Amino acid sequence: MANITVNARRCAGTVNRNLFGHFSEHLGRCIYQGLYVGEDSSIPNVNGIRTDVAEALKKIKIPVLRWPGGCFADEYHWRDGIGPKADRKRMVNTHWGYVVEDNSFGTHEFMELCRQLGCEPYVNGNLGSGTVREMSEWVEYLNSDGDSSVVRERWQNGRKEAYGVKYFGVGNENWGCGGNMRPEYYADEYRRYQTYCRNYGENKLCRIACGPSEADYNWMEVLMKNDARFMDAITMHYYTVPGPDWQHKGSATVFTETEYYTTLRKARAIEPIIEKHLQIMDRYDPEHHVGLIVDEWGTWHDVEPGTNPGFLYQQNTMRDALVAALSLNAFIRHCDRVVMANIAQTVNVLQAVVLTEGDKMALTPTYHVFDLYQAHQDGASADCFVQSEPVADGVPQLDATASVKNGALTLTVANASADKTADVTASLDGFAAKAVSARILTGATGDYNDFTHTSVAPRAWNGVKLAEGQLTFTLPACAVAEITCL
Amino acid sequence: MICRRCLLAEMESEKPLYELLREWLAALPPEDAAAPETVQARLSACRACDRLTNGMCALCGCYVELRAAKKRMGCPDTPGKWE
Repeated sequence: MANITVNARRCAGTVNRNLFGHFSEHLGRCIYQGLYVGEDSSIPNVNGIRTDVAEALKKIKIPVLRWPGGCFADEYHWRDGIGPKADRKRMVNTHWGYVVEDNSFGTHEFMELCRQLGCEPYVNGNLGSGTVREMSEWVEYLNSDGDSSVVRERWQNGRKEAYGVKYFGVGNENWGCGGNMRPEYYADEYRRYQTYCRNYGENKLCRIACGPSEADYNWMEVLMKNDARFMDAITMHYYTVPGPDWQHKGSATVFTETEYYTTLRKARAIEPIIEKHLQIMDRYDPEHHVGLIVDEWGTWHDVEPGTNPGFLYQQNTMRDALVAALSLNAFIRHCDRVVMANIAQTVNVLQAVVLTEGDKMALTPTYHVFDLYQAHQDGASADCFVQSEPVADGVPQLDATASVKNGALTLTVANASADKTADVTASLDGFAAKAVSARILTGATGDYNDFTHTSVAPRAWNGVKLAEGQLTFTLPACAVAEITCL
Repeated sequence: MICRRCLLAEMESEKPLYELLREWLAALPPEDAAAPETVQARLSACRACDRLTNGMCALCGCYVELRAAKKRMGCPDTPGKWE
C-alpha cells in the first residue's frame, strides 16, 4: 500500500504556467516542416503555420515558446530573417545537419506563430557571434514604439505595433556551443550585452542569463556572485541520456526493463541538481529576485535508424511519458524559484510532443502528459508527501504533485513500475472534496504512437473512490493520472 | 558538399554514412523489404524531387535509400510521389 498526503494549507508558491513551456530551434524538422510549412504548402496552414500542429499545441495551453535556439541562437543574425523572403540570406546550418537555411522563418513568422498559439515568446539572443549593437537593435525592433530607423524598418515589414516581448535570453550555452567561454568571461560579457537590452514603454524585459549545464555549480556560483543584480532569471540545461555516454545513448523504442529504470533514475537526478543550484542562488539572492529557468530538458536517445543524425529525430514511448511526469513534478515542487521550463523540443526533435511526416501528425505520449498536467498552470501548489516502495534502481514506485485553482484540487500521480499496480490511499488535508473525476495515460513501457496507429492516449478513469475526505485507487503499472477534486 | 539530386551511394563525401546505411539495409528482415523494382521506382521519384538533398528527404529527415527499401513506407509528400 502506498500513501499520499496532500496538504493544501502548505503552499510553496504559484505553479507558474511557464513550467509547461516549450522550445523550438532551427534544427532538423522542428521549425521547417514541423511548425512552419510556408504559405504555398498543400498542407493546411495559416500564414505558413501548420494548422494541425497549432491546434494540438493550443489544446495543451502551450504557455511560452523559446526560439531560435539552442546552439543555433548564437549563430543566428536576426536581420537575415526579416524583409521580403526572396531577398533573405541563405546559410548552411553548421550546427545541425548541414542543411540550407533560407531564413523564411524569421522574427515576424515566430511572432505570428506565438500569436496563433496564444503563448508568450521567449527570444534567445546571440552573444556568441553577434555584436552588442545587433542584440540591442533586435530588442528595439521587437519592443520599441519610438520613431527610430530600426522601428521604421519593422513598420516597412508590415508591423506597426511593438511586439512587447517579455522574455529575452542573453546567449545560450556560452560554456559550449555559444562560444566556449569561461564563466568569468561570460559573466563580464553578460553584463555588457544586457546593459543595451532596454526596456521600452511599459514592457519590462525579463533578462535571462545563460546558466550552467547540469551540475556545473561553479558556473552558477560565478554568475550569481557577479551578475545577480543584472538579471531576472538564469538558465540550466539537463538532458536524460539513458545510455552510458553520448556515443551510446540507446534506442528510443527498443530497451530492456533495466534500461527503463536507468532512464527514470537519470530523469529523477535533475531534482537534487536543481536543489543545489537553488542553494547557491539563495546565498547571493535571498529575496528571490532571480528565477531559475530550465530551458532545455528531456530525453536524448539515438536518432531513428535511417534518419539524418543531425536532425535529432527520435520516437517517444511511455518511458518518455514517465520522464516527463517526473521532471514536471520536480519543477512544480520547486516553483518558489523555478519559474519556467522548456521541453526540448516541441516538434520532431528530441523529446517532441508532436511528430510530423508530410501532412501527417502524431501526438506522442509526452504530449498527453502535458495535457494531463495543464490544470496545474498558475495553480497554488499544495504540499504532497508520498510514501511508496522503490521498484528498481532506487526509483520509488510513486511520484505525485498537487495544486489548487478555482476551487478545484488537481493531483497528478505517476506509477513508475513497469509491471506492478499500486494500491494508493491519498488523504486531502485542507481541502474538502465533494466529487472526484480522473483521466489516465497508461500502457506498456515501450508503447508509442506513429503515423499509422495511435494507441497511446489518455482516457477517462472511474477507478478513483472518494470517501471521508480520502481517495483510494489502484494505479496501473507505467501510468500517469490526473485526479480532479471539486 | 551539397548535392540536390544525389543518393548517398553516389557521394564520395558520404561514404562512411553510406556504409552504415548498407549495414541497416542488410539487417532489414526480408518480410519488411520492398521488391527491388519497387525500390528503384521509388528512388527514381526521389531523384526528381526538390526535397532531396544529400540523399535525404527534407520532409521526413530519412535517407531515402533506406526508406525506399522498407515495404510499409510511403512518400511523405502531399500527394505522395511513390504511388
